[in-house]
Amino acid sequence: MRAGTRMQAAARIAFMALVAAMLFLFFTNDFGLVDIHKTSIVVAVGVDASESGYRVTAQAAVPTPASGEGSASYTQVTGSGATVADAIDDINAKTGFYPKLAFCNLVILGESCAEKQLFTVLDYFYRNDYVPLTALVGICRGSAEELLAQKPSDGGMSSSAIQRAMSEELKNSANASTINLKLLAQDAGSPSRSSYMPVIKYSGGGGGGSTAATPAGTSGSSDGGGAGNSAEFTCLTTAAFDGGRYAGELSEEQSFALNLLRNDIRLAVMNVEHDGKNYTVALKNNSCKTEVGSEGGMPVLKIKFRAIANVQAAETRPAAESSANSHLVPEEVLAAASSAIEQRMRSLAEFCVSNSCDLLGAGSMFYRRFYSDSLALDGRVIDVLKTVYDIRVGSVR
Amino acid sequence: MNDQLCTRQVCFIMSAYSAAGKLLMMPAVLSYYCAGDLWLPALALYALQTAAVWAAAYASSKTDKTFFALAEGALGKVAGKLLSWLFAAFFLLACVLPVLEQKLFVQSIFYDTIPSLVTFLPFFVFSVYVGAKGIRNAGRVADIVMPLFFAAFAALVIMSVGESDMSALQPVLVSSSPSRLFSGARFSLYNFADGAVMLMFMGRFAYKKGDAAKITLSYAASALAVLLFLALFYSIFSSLAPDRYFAVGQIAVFFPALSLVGRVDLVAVYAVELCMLFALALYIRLAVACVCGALGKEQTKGRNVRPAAAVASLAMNVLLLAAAIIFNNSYLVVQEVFGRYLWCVYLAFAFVLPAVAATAARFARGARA
Amino acid sequence: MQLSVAIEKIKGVLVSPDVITYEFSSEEGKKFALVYVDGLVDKAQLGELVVKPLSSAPRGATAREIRAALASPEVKECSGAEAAVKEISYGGAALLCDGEDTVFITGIAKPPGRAVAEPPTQIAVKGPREGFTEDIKVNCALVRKRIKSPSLRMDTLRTGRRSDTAVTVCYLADVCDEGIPQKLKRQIERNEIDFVADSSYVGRFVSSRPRSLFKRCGTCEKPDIFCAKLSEGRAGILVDGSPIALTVPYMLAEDFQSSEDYFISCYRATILRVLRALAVIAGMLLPAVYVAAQLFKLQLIPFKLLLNISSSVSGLPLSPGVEMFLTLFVLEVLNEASVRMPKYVGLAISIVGALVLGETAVNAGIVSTPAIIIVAFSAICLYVVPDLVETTATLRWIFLIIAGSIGTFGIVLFIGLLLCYLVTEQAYGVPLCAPFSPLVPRDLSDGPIKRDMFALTRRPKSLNAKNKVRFKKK
Repeated sequence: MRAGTRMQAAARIAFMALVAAMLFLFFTNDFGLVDIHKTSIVVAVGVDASESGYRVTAQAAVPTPASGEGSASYTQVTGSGATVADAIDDINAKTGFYPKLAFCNLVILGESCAEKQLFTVLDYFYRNDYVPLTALVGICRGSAEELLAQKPSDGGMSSSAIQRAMSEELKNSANASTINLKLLAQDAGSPSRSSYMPVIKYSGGGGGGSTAATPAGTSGSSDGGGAGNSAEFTCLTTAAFDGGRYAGELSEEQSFALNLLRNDIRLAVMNVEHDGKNYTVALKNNSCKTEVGSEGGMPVLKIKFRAIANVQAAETRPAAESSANSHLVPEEVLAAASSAIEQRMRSLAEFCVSNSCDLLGAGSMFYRRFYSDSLALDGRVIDVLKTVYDIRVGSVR
Repeated sequence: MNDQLCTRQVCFIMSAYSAAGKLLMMPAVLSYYCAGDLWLPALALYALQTAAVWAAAYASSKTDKTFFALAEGALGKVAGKLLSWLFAAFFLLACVLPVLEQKLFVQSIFYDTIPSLVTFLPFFVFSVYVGAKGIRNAGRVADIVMPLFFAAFAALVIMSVGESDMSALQPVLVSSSPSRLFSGARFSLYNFADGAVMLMFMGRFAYKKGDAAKITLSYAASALAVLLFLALFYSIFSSLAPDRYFAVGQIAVFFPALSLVGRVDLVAVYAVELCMLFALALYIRLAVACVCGALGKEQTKGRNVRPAAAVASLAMNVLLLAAAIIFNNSYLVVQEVFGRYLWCVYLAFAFVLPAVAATAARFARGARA
Repeated sequence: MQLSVAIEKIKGVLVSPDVITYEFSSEEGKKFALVYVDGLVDKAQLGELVVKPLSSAPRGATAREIRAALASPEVKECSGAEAAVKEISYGGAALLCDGEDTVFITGIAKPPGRAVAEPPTQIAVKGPREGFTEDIKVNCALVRKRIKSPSLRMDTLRTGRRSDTAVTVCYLADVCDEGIPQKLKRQIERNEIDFVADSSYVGRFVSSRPRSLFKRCGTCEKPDIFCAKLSEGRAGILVDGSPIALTVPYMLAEDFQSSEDYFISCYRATILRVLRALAVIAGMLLPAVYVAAQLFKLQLIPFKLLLNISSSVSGLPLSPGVEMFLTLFVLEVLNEASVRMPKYVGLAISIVGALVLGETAVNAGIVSTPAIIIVAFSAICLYVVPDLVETTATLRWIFLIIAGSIGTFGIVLFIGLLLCYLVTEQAYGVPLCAPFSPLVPRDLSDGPIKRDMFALTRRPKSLNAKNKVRFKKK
């Protein structure tokens, strides 16, 4: 009984001490943690390689005082360092705000990064637990800093406009080879060792201000949007990497074929020429299956593509035989569409072979299905790959 | 015999608590050693462990004595007490690595930046309280936590299944060498103390016909869930999997709706975390029960915490806290020690002893027909 | 005993001007005196049922003859002044007769009190509207009006050294576990206190952990709910002077049930129950999670919302935790003031609170708009289950302090601690968390979900009632 009472007394004292400690922590509120007041919410990061290391440009959303109507002001700050992490620390030192990358949904690599090992550049983003692997990745011509400094036509953040150019909708219509950090690394880490990312280009523009690496960097806000030269961003071509090394750039047609192969395409639109006239054909119910086989230990890739097409627009208005429905596609146009798709895929396959860059994923498939044959080929499946195409496009009925 | 649990609660504990602890580092460790074959060592360990759980449940069917009472009857009082102390030490040891994992997990999913160890210290307050509350309380908590855990687990699986590519698990069985598979199993063995846990439940629930099958099946069901989780995890991350610590916190981030509504998956992760905390505290409860049993002061009835249990729980947690402080930055070293040297301790306590207990119970005097 | 001596004895104890002595004689000269407390007795009835019949009493009438002459339906006999004094205090009128030792107590009490009305805290859109009053006799009658079963027991005992308050323990003898009323009576009798102002005092007497944040007795203000609980196998306590009845055993889940759930569609009732549970969880946790998210885990907030919040809090002089603390403090002060203040001042307080403190504080940049929205929403959410407000509002503070100190991890840990504490707590042998822990699958059909009346054929298993069957078709 006495022991119980003593225990209760001890528990009461411990409880009081705990309450006091909690209240102390609550009101002092700091043990090295970074709250919303000390944070800059980085939404996009641009990385440029230089001789001395890296320059990282962070585009951060800036809170404006409560009187505003939810404006989307932003600031852009550049830091430099021997590594990407070092450069980000530099940004912290320059601004005093801790750059939180938890909301960073875009990583842009400058052209200079193509000369380096891709995963050396991106290493920081994979090591850091607080960077989401869902962040989109793209490469641009020129410097990433300059690209981020462009002012889009809606006057908002360039990163938002770029993300729109790499959106899921564009990916699902085969117009952009959108990829995120996770898929990029998975592709590179697969037996194919090849990965890709969209090439971001902009037209018009001229910059939203100085892009010099001043401590404060550039800044802007939605209030001033629309003025001056506004930039339009596109991601129609694709950069290919093999083992993390830049292997070349796919054309728009090759990128289209790559997207058909790698992504779940809902509606793709392509132009087909038949009899000297242009037809714009929409491909629906796309199904692209790739299957790898082994013939005498050699890989054979079978690409089976099925889609249903309708005519969206044509230079002349064709009507199918015995039908008044103008969206029905004539057999000749369907054949031309099939042929165009096959041609694009062949072109992609040629690119892959000539650059030893297995964007088709044949190496991975071969590894998974014919492990011993794959080992015998020492991983260079793409060099001996035979490709068989089975492409059929039918008309809506 | 004092029935502190009912069969349902034993089943709940053996399913939810046993699964929860295996969703943190085990997937990454197994991916590191076995890549796409990560499920194979897990399957082997689970098969053995299910047999051990069945053995302990079978022992319960043969006698209504606790494991220590059985040992006392067979080997004498001193051996019984010694075994109690050994089990207390084992359960305390079984907490060390999971506590360090918990600390890292908490820092990863509850904070945006790496906080100091101070933020994790309240866990020990929780642990002291829960540890002192006894086994009956563990069963009652399991009644609520088990449905919560499996609902959260299902939500996470549903959110992540769209991102998976099961072909990443191929080729099956040929890509990993037997030594890698064995290493994977050895380095994951510290997650498998369930046989020992089941031994502690011997004589603490009223055995009815068919209970051994129920308990074994519920454990097997949780094993299946964990194996599915492992497959799902690797099919999502494939080559990145070995670096993706704390699988349960990362698996659902690719769910498309999260870009609109924010990290709602964290709600499910926090629910799983609640179960993990109780799963970890279960070891402390059992260690406390062993110590109190050895001292003859085990609490089997009533709600009020007895001083002996409180002091034992406090002492256990002080030791754990010391370990957490000492090994604060040495997780990999501890993992290496457990994987290289201490795995045989787990083998003895969680795999061999349940089999021994089943044999002893079968032939013990006063065994049920 | 001589009449004057008897009067002296009583007046000697009850020395107060409100104790009235009315002496009168019969036509034949037999002397009587009535002693009663002014205001507690129905004087008209006293004249009609006592004085008038005795006017024809013979001079030598014996106690038995006098008793027979009284027209009052409730007459008690007692001997001695002490017993008479007690009865006078309870509202009886003591009839003293010259030359007789026996004192007759006539039960024609009519203490001041309000009429039966709908209670303000348990308003039902559909269903009975009668509520308990402060008069225990009225309350007992309201119960008896609904349960005509002869097995309804109403055992009255008294507690309070000075207030001598009547406490009635009600139960259905053939349903309720007999140990419960016995234990209740023991617990009530074991405590000695000067004054029992309200049933909450008795609630603490009968509780195994009176200092706990979580109550151990159910409360209700309506006889229909009270009777429904008795018929489930609970025991009830009515306390004189309190319109709030208590029921035991108590389970946390019962506060999420409303009487209306039983009168409306079971689907709607289920939705409402889930809604109540979610509202209470949101009410307790929302301020804490908001603070924790801002301080430690921004990802808990969707990006676009985060930008808005970030805009709102930018430039605020207070940390997120202190800002929320302040806002919650203001809410509690306003709440307290508006309850205590007279109605016309209460309106002014609402205006001052909403406009001056709310809007001006935001404009002045002291607190942010989201903080005010969250606190307001939290306040509304908690009042979805008014019976638990005392507990949940306190927990909201605790969660806030923890969240501001160690973030969401603290919230999860504290939920774990609460869970661990609650699951082994019990009231009168019934676990507080039943039917969830220990899990009683059958009882879940009147727990988080509400099945239709025909499915609820058995009484809750958790209550361990004697008679298990609640409903059967003939």
